[in-house]
Amino acid sequence: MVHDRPDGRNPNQLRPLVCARGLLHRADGSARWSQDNTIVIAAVYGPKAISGRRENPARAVLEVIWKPKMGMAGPSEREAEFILKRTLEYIVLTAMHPNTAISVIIQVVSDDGGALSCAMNAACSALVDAGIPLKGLIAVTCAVDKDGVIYLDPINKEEKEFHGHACLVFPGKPMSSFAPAGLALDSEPIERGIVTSVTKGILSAEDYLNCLERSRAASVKIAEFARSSLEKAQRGVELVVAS
Amino acid sequence: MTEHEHAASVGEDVELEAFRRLYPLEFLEKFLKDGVRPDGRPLGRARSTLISVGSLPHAEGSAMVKLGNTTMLAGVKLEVMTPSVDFPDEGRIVVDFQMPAICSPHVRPGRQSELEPVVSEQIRNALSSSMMVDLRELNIAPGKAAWMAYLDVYCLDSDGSLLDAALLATAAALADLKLPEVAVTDDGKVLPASSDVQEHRSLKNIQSKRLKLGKIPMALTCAVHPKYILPDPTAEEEAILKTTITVLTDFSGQLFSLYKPGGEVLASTSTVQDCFALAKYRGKELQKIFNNAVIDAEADDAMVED
Repeated sequence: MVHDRPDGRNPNQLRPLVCARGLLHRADGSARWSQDNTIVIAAVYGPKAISGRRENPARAVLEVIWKPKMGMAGPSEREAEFILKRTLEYIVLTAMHPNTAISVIIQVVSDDGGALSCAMNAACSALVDAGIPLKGLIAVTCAVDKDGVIYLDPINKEEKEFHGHACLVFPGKPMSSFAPAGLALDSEPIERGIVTSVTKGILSAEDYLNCLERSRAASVKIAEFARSSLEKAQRGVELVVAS
Repeated sequence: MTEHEHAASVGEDVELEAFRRLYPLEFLEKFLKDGVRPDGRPLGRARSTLISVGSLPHAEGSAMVKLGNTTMLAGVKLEVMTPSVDFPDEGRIVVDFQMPAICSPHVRPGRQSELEPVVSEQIRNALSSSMMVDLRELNIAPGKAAWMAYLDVYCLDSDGSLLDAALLATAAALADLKLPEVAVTDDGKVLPASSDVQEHRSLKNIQSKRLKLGKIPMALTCAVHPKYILPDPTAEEEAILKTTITVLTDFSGQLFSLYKPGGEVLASTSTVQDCFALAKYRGKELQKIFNNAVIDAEADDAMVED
């Protein structure tokens, strides 16, 4: 039984996406990513000098700071920082900048559900804006499940009511028909594996796999949007609106 | 052994250690190709698990878990609190996971390890998703008094799979938890049961009891290599492979959540399904170990009461 969503979308519909880059002048790179009422700003400083024990002679050290909209950062913010750091380590070519640090600062401007996925998308765009060499882009989507029906890109109200929700990160590479066979991941094209999965609440194995399928399909749209937004920016148009 | 042979074997040991340090991934892969892990386990086996409950006599509930070398100590202390207006018949459980400097050379005193808040949050999530403890069991007098349980989990030795061991210790400590016998007055003042009950009018005695537990959550962390999946990795394996997937289920293998915090290796659907299967198998193993440990504790109860 499909429930009506409070904002009138159908279960497979994402919220309108807006991405703006280069908004902060002091930061090496910045981006604001919004999914309707969830707005996150990401700033990237780096590669910059790092001192002491923290430096790594083989690769750049990634550091993430998450600033919530209100109040002090607590354990859930630290967990988000950890997840974001590990996720970004997948795409950033850290070996190209040894002995340096790359800092990503996330500021949640408003949170109406899906803040973590919004932040990851914003961080990815900010890294591109900073000119940090990347292996690829990531596309992050979120899905909730109720009574076996998957609803994509939930708002706060839906997240609270539903049994379980998952935030899934996929590599945003376009399908390459020239990918050598050896790179395929167990006969799936390499682009389809998950980079990160964070779930809250209860999801049965079947529901989780359904979430995975739907999110994968949605991530293709988000990756397309991010890519076209990048291309347009390179042609001098900085603000892109897509839905 | 002649001196020459002895010197030769020492030389080999040094070479082995050097190889292990300089080329950790190749070192690990040499074992994986033969279907074993560096500590001798077959590829898909978890380390030996020991649970002992009631380790701390002053805590109302406690448990110690050893998962290979990873050692966790969990203790529950109770305090009386006034329940919130929205949930007048519920108590609270406050979970805190700590990694003191004793557990690992990478942890410095005064600086929080980055894993601490992550594991704390995951334990909290697991407890609330599985609804292992119905908070109404912690009620004393609705609207006036309820138990607040402070559950502290300390990592004494950090050798990989921290969440697995910490969650097991949490579950065992909560299973061991015994709410003490108390007497409660009409206006919600809670007194120890040993005070003079007869003298006070309208004093209600609440019997001591253990909590009735719902689904017990467990976690299985697997380190992921492009070709192999290693359940219950040691700290060395986690450091080499860097990518882990943690599956949270109950003992029957019913899934709660899948946690993969980034990492260099992508997880395909078949990897995810393999992890589910490994977790289901592990659930059966853990259920036996857990039940044995808890039954021992309850038998001790019965002995004391007699």
